[in-house]
Amino acid sequence: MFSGMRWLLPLFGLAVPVLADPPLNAEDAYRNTQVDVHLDWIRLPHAAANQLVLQYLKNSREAGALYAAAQQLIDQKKAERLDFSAVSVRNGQRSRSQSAIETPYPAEFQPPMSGLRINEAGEKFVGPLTHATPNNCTFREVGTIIELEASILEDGHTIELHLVCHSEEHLTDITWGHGVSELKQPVFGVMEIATKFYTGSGAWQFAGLLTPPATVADGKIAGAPPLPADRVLLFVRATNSRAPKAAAAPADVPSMQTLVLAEWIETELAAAAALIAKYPDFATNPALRAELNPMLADGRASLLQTAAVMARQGDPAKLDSFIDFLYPGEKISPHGRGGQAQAAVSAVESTVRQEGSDPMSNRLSWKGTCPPMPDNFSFRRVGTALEAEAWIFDGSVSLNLGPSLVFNAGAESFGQGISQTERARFQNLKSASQCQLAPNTPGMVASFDVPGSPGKEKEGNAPASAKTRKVLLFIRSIL
Amino acid sequence: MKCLSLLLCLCSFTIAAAAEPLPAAPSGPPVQEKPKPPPPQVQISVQLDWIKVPHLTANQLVRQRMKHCREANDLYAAVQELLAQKKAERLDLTALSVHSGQRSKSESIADKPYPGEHEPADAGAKINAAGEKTAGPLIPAVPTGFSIRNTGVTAEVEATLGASGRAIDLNIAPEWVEHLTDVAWGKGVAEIKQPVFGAMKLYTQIATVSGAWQLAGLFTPPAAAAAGKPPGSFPLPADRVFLFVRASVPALPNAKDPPPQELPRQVMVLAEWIDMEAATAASLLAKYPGFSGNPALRQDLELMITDGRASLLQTAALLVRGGQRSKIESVIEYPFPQEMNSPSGGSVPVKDKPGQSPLDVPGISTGMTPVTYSGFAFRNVGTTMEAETTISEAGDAIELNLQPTLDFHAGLLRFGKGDSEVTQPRFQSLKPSVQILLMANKPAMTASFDMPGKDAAVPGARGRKVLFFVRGIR
Repeated sequence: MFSGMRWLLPLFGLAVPVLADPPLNAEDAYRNTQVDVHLDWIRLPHAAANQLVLQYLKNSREAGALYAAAQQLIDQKKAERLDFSAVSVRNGQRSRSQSAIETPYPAEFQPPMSGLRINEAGEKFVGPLTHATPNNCTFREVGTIIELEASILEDGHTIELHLVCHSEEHLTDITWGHGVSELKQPVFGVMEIATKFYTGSGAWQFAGLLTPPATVADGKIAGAPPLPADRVLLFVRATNSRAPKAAAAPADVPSMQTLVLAEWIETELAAAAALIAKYPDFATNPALRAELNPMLADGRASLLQTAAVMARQGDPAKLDSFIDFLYPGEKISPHGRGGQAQAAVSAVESTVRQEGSDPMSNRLSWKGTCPPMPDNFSFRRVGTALEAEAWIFDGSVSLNLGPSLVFNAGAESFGQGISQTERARFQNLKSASQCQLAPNTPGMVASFDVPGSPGKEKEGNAPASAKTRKVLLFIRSIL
Repeated sequence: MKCLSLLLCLCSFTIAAAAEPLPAAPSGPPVQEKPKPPPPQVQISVQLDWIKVPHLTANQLVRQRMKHCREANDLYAAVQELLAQKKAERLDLTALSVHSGQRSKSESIADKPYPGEHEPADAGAKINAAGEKTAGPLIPAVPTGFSIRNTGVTAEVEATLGASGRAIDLNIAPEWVEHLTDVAWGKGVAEIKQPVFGAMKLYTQIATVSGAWQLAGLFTPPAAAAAGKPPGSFPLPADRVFLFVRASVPALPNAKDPPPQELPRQVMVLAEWIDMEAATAASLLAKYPGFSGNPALRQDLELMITDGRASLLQTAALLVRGGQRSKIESVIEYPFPQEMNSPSGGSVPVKDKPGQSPLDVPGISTGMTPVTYSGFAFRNVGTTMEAETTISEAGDAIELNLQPTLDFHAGLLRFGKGDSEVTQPRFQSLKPSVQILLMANKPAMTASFDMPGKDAAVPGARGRKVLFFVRGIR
């Protein structure tokens, strides 16, 4: 591979190795130098995405059949090409492509200012004079950012790809606080994948299955259940554009990578309990997942979420589909800005005393006080994450897994009256486990509560914390 | 003891005095040495010609009339024809001379002062005849610190004549700066105007032969935006600017043109951004999976540009010496606020409007000042291209390290309410960073992007895409 680059060495001040092969020309140097990478984001309904992967992805070496099936759905208008990106990268080097909008949003605010006001009746009171003021903004890159590193292996056909892609949208703005203290903060939707894998030149490879960020409808809380109805298949094709047609790697070559597929399936608590009672070896018994198929078909179970990511042996891979949700961590109390409100109050008090009125009427003078202002905003990722590290030994796969589902569980109120404040709360379905799986065989790794209904509605004497439905997490490794 | 130390001291003075040389006796008036004449210097005359032509014409001229990058006489002649036909316009002509091996600078500039710092607007108060404090006049924002920007044309040249007496090495850094317009930030008494500058800048090294025209770069001229649009927003201006350079020396005895192979290697890097429907782009990529190595993809697009299925979004060109890094910029320097001062006032009672709720703010500027922007920063929007090349021994392969960027102003966003409302711009960037090995004179696609402007605010599927092509003209 490096002999083709020999003419470059003197230019970098390096000694040219003495080789026996004939002198090189530009055509020789040109070979195996460039990898052209094409990424295709295809959106389709969740159930269809899940079924396509299970039916058409037979191995982790290529995904030609799956890509063709997705293309058919596009032709039938049952799927949609969300986006595509193309980037060329030098063999062994790194390329970056950014197509983004730098979107500003306020990061710091000054609370509203209070001061002396005179109403229609001529009464003096303390009331708001300004709204909360954004006084510092920050920028966020919204769009698509692709970072690639590609190396062509010695056979001239196999390409080792290190892929980091990030797709982000500004979904909506959320209002925090009320009245003169009302602030708006953005909500961003992100799909992100970071992985390494091998692929054959010119072959479509399946990099991951993501959840597209859904637009937040009026009255709906961003990131609250249910999950969006669609999923996104991310396909990658890397082509050694400067090589004579190299033979494809034979199919019997042992795979050094795996597609990790995670499925969260929701069912009645009783049904889940019965299944686990029937299959105590749930981590290794594929019959449990097989029994859920008719239940999924007849509605006794439902597919809550699917995520998939390609992972190369020994390298951690990560997939994220989340809503970046900004929520306030603190509130500024309802006294207006700095000492001005206090000065205004003193002025009212002195006016009231001078006019000989009841000093207690000072309470009335606070009727226009500013509500507390949300402050100190933090980002919280709400959505699906799948982190996996795979080791492949003698026909079985050892996985180090970190799948998680995080939902926005609404806001909780604290305090009273004008001092009332709200804090966001989140529901997590998280697991961190290791499992040993047979190739292409599903195993159940954990069970969780159903998001959105943390407890059973009180019926009779049932405790509030009793659960009615459960979520079972299945993992399979497609080699 | 005292006698001994006095003796030692006396001895040391005698030895020191004996060591100093005696002053020479004056012998007549001093002889003045004649100043040596400076060694003969070759004077190199350098000319820079800025010519504006329509974008499509500029793109076609470079591709059709520049067969190699040793000289651009043919291209220059074609542009002169357009000038004669009034289809092009000479923007400027700069000439300066430089001693071989030295540096010259020519500046034709005017200072443009603008306020860099402001005291925020303030609400005044006054005491009336009855001794009551009442709302006084609002004091507008006060410019307190000024910065100066040179507008006009600056050219900096370093030229070295080669041993052949005809080959010249040029190091050039021309800069064109214009004050395009002012943008107003804030409202009422807090309104502050900030200048928008347009700039065309180049930094590169050129190997040329005396008397030959060279194309140093292809710029986008700075233009104030259409009415109602902020400067630097989509679409790009309709014209492009060629910067031609010619260096000439007087005929020297035994001087002769060096053979092309003895000239330092250089390459004209031509970058093209072409936009089309996303479906069209997807089908082209399906047809050409090895898109960086297949010039047929660019050929397919030529037809599409002609019949309107695709359009040429942008072209930039830059002459780069082998092993060196060069940069071309066609940008609008857009000022935007980074610091905001909250509304001020409230030192006297504010009278509510009839029906005003005590929970609501009485109204805009009722004895209060709006937000004052106090700190500004400049953001470059436009086209920038940075390139570093390594050229093979035979000159037919070019290793390119390229960072081209298109930045657009993507509109303004408003935050806050009433007098507390602040405005911030957003920007759209199309930015790849790629390394590529090119065959000389063959175009290669290296990246794809979202279409600026049109799809910017629409979440979800993209309607149009931009494909980025680069070629190295040797």
